[in-house]
Amino acid sequence: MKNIFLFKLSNINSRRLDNFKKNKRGFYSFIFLLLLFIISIFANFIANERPIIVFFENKIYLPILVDYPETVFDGEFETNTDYRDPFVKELIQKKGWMIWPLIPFSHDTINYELKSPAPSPPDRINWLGTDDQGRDVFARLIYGFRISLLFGLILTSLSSIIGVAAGAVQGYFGGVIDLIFQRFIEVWESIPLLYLLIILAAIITPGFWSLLFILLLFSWMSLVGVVRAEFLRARNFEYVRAAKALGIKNNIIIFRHILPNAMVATITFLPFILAGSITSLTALDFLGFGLPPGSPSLGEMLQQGKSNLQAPWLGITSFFSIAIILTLVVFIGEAVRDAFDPRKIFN
Amino acid sequence: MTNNETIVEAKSLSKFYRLPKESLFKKPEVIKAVNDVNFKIIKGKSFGVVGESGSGKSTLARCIMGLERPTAGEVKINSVDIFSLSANELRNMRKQFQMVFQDPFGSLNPRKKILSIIAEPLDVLEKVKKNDRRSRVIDTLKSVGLKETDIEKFPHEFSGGQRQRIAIARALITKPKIIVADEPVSALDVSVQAQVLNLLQDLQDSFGVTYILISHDLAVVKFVCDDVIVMNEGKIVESGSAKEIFTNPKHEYTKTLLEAVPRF
Repeated sequence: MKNIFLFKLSNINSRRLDNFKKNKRGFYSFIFLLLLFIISIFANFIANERPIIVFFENKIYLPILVDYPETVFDGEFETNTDYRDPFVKELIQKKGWMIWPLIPFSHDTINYELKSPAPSPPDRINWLGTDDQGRDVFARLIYGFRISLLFGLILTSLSSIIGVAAGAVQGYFGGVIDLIFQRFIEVWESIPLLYLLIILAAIITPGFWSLLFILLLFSWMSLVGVVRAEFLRARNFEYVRAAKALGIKNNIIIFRHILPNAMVATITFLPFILAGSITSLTALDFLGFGLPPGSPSLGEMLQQGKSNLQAPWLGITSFFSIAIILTLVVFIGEAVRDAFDPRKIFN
Repeated sequence: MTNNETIVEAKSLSKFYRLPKESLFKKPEVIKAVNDVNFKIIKGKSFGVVGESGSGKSTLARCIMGLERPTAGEVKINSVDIFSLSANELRNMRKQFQMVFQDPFGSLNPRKKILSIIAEPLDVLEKVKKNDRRSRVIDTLKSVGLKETDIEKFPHEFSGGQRQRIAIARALITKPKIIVADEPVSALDVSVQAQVLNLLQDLQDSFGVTYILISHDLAVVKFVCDDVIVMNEGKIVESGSAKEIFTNPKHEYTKTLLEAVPRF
């Protein structure tokens, strides 16, 4: 038995964890992706058009968390302070100081002081250059990475919850329910998602959550087959029959006796579903049917790279970031799959 | 145990299975697993069902347990027809009749500890406090000859005979009046079989349980049962007291069954 984070692991799970750690490539991919994700969660403190801390007249201000009108800093307007304004900078520096984030641009900050017309090449201020609207590519990359991964994770978890539930019901009850559900899935699966999205994009402007919902309508089916098969197998296990004979309710049998069997197959699939979710968001953004215009996304950046071939830093940045994310996720997926394989033994 | 109170009664019980259609025009074949079976079981006695494989013994057991809905006929437990009850009422009835399965290696969930395996019927059928639950599990475990410390173990840490004891403990914990045992010893070594059968008899003496014992093994039935029915192709071919049937079989099929037992 091993303890991690207060959870007691059973022998088999601690062996799986060991196996996962022994797969060096997958394990380090996991650590690396986790690190990138944690960093990107704090994107607002790494790339922002507002300083992290302003010290003004012996008082501390936190502009990232709170909006301050310009009058606080002896300015003239009562609107939000534009800290990038040279005039405001001067005002603040007279009576205090401020600490800027590593990258003094947010994902939608337009750099008006470019030395060459946008898209401008990488230099000391814009590390990876700017896009065709003069926005910093590196800032957009960090925010885009965060939104892609968050979108992927939410979509993956929601669709696996729905998929497992649907597969469980079908496999456990079988018979007519299974038959009807399977035919429904066959019909539903044959609806072309892309055309549907193009039509929907003409009616509504897809946002983060509405896009998530539409993709969820079609992505929950990926797990149904596996879970259904697992339930069809396990419902004839002697101990499941015994549980039925003892008078135990169906929902308890499903959760307590069968679901643990189906979890292995489900968890093995998850990283690959995550990779698929990220890819589909990127593809939709690339085609212009994804997140609303202006939001930071890898697909939109890829699209800019395609239309601005003279500015290779756009295409190269987006290509490598997408490729690296997907590679990391697939490496993790392989390691998870091997860790759950009872026949695989690592030395 | 002297009163001849009927506890289980089957009236013209039938269960037919339809095979999948093979031809578009022919009617699908029907297998008559249980065909017009009648019997009465007297409280506190052991009732044996004998027959070769495929004779419908296990289907009969599943019908008595209410796990399969019969095609026709009724099963009365304490003069209540169990198939007229709603799912909830039937679940509450299950406190009174429990089942022991053939394969002690398959019938216990390998992921659960003995405590939660045995306490499972208790959790569903009765509302018990945590302390009561634990002490009842320990009591039941002791009554089948296992130790208190065993509750923290997993099923794979036990031998086949011990596992069958655990399965019996699980059936016993709600203090049922009837236990249906479907081939309870046929998966066990001969040396262990006797232990488990002795345990069953001891439990009958102390708790007054009625057994319905399904077996193809005539020696087992002879050892445990008071009344016996012999089944062949879904029908009862002979019924009577165990003594009578084993010493003076009347039906041809019973005779061949008895002769088929290897003697040394």
